[in-house]
Amino acid sequence: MSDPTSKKPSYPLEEVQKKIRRNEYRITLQAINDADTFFGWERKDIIECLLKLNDKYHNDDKDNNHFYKTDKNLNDPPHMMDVYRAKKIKDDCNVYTHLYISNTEKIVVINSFKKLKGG
Amino acid sequence: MTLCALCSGTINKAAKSVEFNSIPLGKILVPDILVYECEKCLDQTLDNEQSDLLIRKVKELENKAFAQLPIGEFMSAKETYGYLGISKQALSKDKKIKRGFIYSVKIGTQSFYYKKSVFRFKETRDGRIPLQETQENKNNPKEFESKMEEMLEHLNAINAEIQNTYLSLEIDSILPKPYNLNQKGKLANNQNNEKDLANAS
Repeated sequence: MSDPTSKKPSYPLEEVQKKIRRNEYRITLQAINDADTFFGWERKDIIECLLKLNDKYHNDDKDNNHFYKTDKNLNDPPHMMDVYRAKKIKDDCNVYTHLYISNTEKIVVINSFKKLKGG
Repeated sequence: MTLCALCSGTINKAAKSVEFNSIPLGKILVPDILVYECEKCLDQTLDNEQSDLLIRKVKELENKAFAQLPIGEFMSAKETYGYLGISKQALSKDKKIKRGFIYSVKIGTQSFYYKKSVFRFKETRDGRIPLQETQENKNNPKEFESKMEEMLEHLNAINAEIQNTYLSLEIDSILPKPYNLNQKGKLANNQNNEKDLANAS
């Protein structure tokens, strides 16, 4: 597992996007609800957005790079989660999302999908 | 048995009612959604089909609520794009409006837009307001009336421009009349009818 200060995601984005294309994913109810509240978006819009993400380090170029950080939760053993911040990724909307690949089910779980603060 | 990757709790798959926070309706329960739920952290996840089904059901409930609002609280497409100061095409193609950022109902082939939602959209580009909030306007109609006055002013400004055009073309016999509010609080301008037009010719 990567450390939280890494400039690279814990789950290779290529693999994440491959799984999403194969419908090997689930979305949390909260993420679906937030996508509707913040953007009026449905599942297909969330997916369109995720397939446009890149894994370049966000702080190097905040307008064009999307990978922000990889973080672990507080559980024991901890599970890593990749966080992306994407500006104007779809319909001029700025998105904040975090996701992971479940080590038990080997599927992508889109854990959060919100409007990027200040965007 | 599937374990939650985050907390190692057991994930169960079952059809149940899920809570959804809808902007127009507030917290609603959406029945019969197949959910993966962790026994321990209570995290709920949905696959692609159930995600679509959930949103479809939420939209159905929201549209049902819009359809129950009094028709007098809606305005035509023409009034809407006039008030927003955009073209007819812009109204029908605007991505936000298409996504329901202005509440609307369809009667036959025509769309009608919820006035309060149109007013809010003009201010913030997001006309999604809690319907409960709009009911409060009935008790305190002053704000609503001032918005209507603002809209009247706007429509009459457009009218004046049309009048000038007609005058410059020397066809003053079919000048549009000013807009006003009729007894039911609906916009009306008693435009010239066919008989007037016949007299004019």
